[in-house]
Amino acid sequence: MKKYTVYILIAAALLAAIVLPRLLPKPFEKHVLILIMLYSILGSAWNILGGYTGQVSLGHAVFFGIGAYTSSIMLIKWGIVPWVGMLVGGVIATIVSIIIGLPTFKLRGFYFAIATIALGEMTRTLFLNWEWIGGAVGLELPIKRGDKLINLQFYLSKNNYYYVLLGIFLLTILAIYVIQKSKLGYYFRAVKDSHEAALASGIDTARTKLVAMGISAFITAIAGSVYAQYLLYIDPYVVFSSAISTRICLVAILGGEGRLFGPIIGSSILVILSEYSRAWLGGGGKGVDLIIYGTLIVLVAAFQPRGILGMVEMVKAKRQKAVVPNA
Amino acid sequence: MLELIGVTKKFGGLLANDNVSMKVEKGQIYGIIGPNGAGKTTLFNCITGFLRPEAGRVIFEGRDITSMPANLICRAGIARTFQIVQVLDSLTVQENAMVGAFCHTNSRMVAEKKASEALDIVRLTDKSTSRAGSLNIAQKKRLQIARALATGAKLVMLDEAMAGLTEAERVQAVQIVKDINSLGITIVLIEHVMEVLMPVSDRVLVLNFGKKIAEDVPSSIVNNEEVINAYLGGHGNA
Repeated sequence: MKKYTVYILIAAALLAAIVLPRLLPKPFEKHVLILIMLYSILGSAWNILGGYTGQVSLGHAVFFGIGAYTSSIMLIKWGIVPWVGMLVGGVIATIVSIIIGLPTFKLRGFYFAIATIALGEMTRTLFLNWEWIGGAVGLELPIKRGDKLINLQFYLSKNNYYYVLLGIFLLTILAIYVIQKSKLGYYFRAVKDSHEAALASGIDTARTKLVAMGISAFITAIAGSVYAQYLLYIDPYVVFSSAISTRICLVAILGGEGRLFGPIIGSSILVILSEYSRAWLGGGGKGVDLIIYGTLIVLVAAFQPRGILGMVEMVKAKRQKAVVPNA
Repeated sequence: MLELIGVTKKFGGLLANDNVSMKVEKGQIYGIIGPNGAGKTTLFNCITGFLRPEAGRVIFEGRDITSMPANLICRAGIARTFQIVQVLDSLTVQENAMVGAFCHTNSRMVAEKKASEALDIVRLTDKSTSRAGSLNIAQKKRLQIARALATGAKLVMLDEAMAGLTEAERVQAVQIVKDINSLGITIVLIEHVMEVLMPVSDRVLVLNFGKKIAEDVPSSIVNNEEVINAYLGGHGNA
């Protein structure tokens, strides 16, 4: 692909992303768009650790919840605007991720994934029993009228939540793009492909994984803060649920792990599938949405583990081969 | 340049390296041979920080590097390859070499340049945009060498760089080893096939059951009785 075609494509996608919510008048449709954007951010954040660096985490709800709780607590108890709370939440999540990472990165492969599941469960239990931050009752966020950006609460138009998330998503993508091109990006991929080769190339593998986890946790927490502002109510089951952890991971894997635009593709498919199947089937079909996207994941895992973008690449490569024999 | 003093490594009750001492001078090609299971790779792992010896010391350029983490040993100037090839399959050939080159630079441009130079030496330049996973075994072995070179190492340790290659590939590999050595880089080689190692080595260490049984110039090694026994199965009557 020529360079300017890429620029045109990016500009077109950006324009579409900006116009899209204006074309969809129903609140439910806007809600779906917001969730797609939210999970695109979360999937991209997960991708840094899981996709590029190869450390599969099934406990990312820990960071998501920390972000949601930190900004909410700071707002409720001290009246600090969520933008500040968001950054503080990000920093706390990063610190927690390093504390979690130090012992668990000694474990490789499945063991790391299992450890992250356990940590997710532990964190939820901890928050359920922690009275100062609301315990099982959860937190209700104070309502601020006026749709001011500084308050990160919008009543007149849900679109603004979407635009805030879109902005964060673009920053995330940009950050990942820059990392990909830098030494750090090469080190991430080296650690994923071969631990031994990475060590023999002078890479501090443990530190590299910690850096990946720290960045990943920071972005995940930021998304968590925005989500809290969107729902205006959080409790441990809402933000620390293992379903969130799984979804974050699925979004990235379905789209194509370790690919810049994998998560937005994965998130579009998963969110639309699950939200619409839930809406159509209603209470009677509870859980059917999960069955549908569980099936989807099984199909991807069985037939195309590299995700949808991997599939696209393969088809392209085949076509090229068909055109140029012996290539 | 590299000195081992009484290095001992045990796996449970098995003595994989038993009090091994050796000395590699700057600019040498130093060969380590021994039958399968003699402890060659274990010794490599002890030197490069992939294993910690129970006893003994490893000294590199006057510095004690015993039990230092592998990545720091690489930074100190010792790079290695693996007997079971370890290339970064999903990266391109050029990117593989760049990962090595990033050892002493943060700049992509510098890394690209160093990687290209290393690929030139191992004759993989024409493959630089291919995925490493698509290479054949001989090319992967050469790519490992390129990565080691790109780190800017002063000492390169090659673990069976020539095993499993065809005759033509082996001749090329030997030439590459000589080329690298002519750049002033010291080389330590492991091979279990004597014919490959003897002609290129300046000095040879022979291991058997974890013990050093000889260390000498190749011409003396081939006449050493203990070595002949180890290789030909015992009674010296073959």
